[in-house]
Amino acid sequence: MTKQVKKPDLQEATDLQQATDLQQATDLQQEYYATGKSMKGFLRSLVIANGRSTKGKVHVRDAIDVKRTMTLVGLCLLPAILFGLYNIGLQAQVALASGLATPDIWKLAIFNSLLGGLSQDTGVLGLFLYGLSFYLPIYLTALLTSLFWEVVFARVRGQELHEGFFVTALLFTLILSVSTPLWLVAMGISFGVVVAKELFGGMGYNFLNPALAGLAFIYFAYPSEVATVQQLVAVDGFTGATALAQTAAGKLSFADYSWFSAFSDPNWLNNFFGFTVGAIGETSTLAILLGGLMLLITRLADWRIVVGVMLGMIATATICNYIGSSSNQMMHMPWTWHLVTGGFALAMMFMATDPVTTSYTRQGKFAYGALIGFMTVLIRVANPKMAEGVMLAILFANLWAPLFDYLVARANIKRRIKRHGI
Amino acid sequence: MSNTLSMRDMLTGPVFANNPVAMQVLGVCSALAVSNSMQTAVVMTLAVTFVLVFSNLIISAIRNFIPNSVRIIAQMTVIASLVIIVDMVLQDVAYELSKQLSVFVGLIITNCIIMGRAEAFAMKYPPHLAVVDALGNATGYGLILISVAFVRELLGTGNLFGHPIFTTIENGGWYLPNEMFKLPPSAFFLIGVLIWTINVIQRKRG
Amino acid sequence: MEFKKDTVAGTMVFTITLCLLCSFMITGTAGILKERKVAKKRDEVQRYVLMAADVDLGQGNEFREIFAKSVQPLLINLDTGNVDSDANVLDFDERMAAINPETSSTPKKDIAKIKTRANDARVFKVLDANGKLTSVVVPFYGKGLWSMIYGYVAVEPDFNTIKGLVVYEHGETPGIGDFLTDPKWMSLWKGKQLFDEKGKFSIRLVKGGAKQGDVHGVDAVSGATMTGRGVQRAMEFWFGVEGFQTFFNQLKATAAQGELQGELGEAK
Repeated sequence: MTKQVKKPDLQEATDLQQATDLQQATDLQQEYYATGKSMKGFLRSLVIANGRSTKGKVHVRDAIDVKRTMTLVGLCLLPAILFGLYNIGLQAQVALASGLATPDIWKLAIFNSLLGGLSQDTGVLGLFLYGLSFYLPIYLTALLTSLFWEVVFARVRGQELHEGFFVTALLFTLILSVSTPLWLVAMGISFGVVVAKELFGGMGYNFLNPALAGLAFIYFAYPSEVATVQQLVAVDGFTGATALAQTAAGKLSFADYSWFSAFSDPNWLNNFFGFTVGAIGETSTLAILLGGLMLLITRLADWRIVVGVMLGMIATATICNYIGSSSNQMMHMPWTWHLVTGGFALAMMFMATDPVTTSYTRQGKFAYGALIGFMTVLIRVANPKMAEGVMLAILFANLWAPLFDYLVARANIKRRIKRHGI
Repeated sequence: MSNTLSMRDMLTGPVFANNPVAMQVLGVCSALAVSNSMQTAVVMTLAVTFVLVFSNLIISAIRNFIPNSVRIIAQMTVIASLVIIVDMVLQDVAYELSKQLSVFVGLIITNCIIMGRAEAFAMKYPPHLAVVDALGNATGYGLILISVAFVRELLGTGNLFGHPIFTTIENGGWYLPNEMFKLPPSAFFLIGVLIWTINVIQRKRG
Repeated sequence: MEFKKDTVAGTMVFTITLCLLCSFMITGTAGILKERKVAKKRDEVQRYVLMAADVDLGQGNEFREIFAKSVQPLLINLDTGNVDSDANVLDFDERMAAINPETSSTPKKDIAKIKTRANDARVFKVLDANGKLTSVVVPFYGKGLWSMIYGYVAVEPDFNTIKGLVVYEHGETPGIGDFLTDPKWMSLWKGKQLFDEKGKFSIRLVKGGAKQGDVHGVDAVSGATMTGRGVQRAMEFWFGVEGFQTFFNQLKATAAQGELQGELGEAK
């Protein structure tokens, strides 16, 4: 550093201050990262935040670490979760109206003792609690299983625990159906955490989205189980098909249906607001978009990816509508419907934008997003076995992400060589 | 290193520490394809053992006559002839099984372990050592194949050698077969886990 | 003379010797196995034909005697319907005959996508203990999604009702096309009618399951559209004009004549 002639005292004082600051920060960090203290450090960091933020001419201005990132993502997911819980109760209530009974299982013990069972008069709060009593066991299973694996790997490696598993577990449970058996939840999250994340080096090194990898695992390992469970509502023996499944089966027709007529279609609005059957956190596009907007404003999610996914999806859906088909109703599904059905919105906002598994270059992000949009529609339309395409589309694009980066870097190098004439 | 190799090392080395599939990642394609049931895995192991032992023996026996310019072709000729014989015998003895193994018996020709051992070992050592080396490598290959097949068949169908071990729900039992283990990608995971385990143990040993 | 391996001559001598040795090895093995292979193939045909005709196979190797006793194999010309020979029918290699341009022709309407069809084909008349015709077994094959699907189908003497069907070889998608060789599925064919009242071919593979009492519909498996279609088209082809229809018509005619003669004989 060059010494400034004016105000030497002040400069020295600042230097000293910065040096001590740095020393303290390093000490803290060392203690935090010290092996053997991982559990202690982790637990402490849960309660006491590292409240220091550096001031002055430095590159890192904010202490936004993994924990804060993950907390923010969790907050952004909140609208979808809250609505999802309410919707579980709502769907159960609707099913009750057709004369079915609530299941007699341990999950409902507290709910029943508090409210005396679900009925047509149960209010919003009651429905929410009903949903909670189904969701909580699922979430706890996922959380504890992933915590277990995280602790095992952190211990073996002598590293500190990362908070990423909170969000992984949260996202994983949100894309499950409410009636998923708990052992299936545990198996899925185990595969996602161990194979997709830990085997490749843990937090920040995974090339696949762990939540989606876990879902893909149970999809392929227990296809019949997942297929039956998917359409179940939290009431005995009731099956309600999602709009996607209905369309794939040809029960929902989109012939002569232009994309904007969706806005005046009560059925579409139902799907948009989320009063439909579906995975726990996937039904309400509105709630997801609200959370997603927060994610975009805080810049935790890159808008380029979201735009890429939307454009890719709209373009592919429009082309499909244009081509048309006499037997496959999915070909006629307009993009407005693609947006509100299945897990598209949730995956676009929260999974495609996972900062680790995407492309890192800006142009690469557009391409990565567009590939997801394209593949989602393609799988939904062309594969009759998979009503839901977004899961595989994102996993597929995850694999392509480094390639996009490579191509962008290559193009940059070429352009620079041209510019400088070498 | 040539003179210090003991017979025992040659036999046991490729089984574990220098396993051709797990450590050198050779011959993985067939390990993925035929490891969905114990029966096919065992038959495949036997076929590979036969081809490997005899190719090593023959190539080692004629190694001093093989002109350098055509050595790879000469090795291929010997291996291919042996594979054709194995294929014919298999079709005769176990026709149904050979149908299940389909092209993979023929593809033993391209199994890198066999070419690798012929080029790296049999071309340099006398026949008796070459046979020992072949046996060691075949055992290493078989070990991986059979252990992967063990897990895949047991978890994928609940059976071993076609006999029920876990009674599946379909048959009134408790076990729900994991469909993924019927698909070849599962062998990737299992081989990965095996490589991992072997690496960890190796590191512990030092 | 010393063998110099790295000269041109040495290389030539070596390669020729090696090739000769290897070919001896292979032909030797093939020679030893050939007899057994032929016998095996013969066994296989016998077993499948009996299975298709719904005849009890008996224990162990009893099926050979049963076949010899109750089945009359014939080699017929598909275009004329005439019987070409009745000897060595079991050793007739229909797949070789189908690709050999001298013994095959290109079908005019190749709905089964077989490209070339052999001029001759095997048929198996299955007789009961009294020598009365109970069914005729014919081979069929056609292209599914990936591969040729091979099988035998038995029809009752009315040449309309299916007595049984066996698929013995296919290379369809594992796990999805496997239903072809499932005995449960094969048994669904029993009693189905090939043609409707107007004589139109009407066997259909119905996705989602054929309705109860549908004499023309057989369950198809969803996800295996092309496989199902392949079987359906193969049946249509082999029971059509370019298939066994000519032969069947002749059989029907002779049967009618025989009955007529029998009646006349009684009248006398």
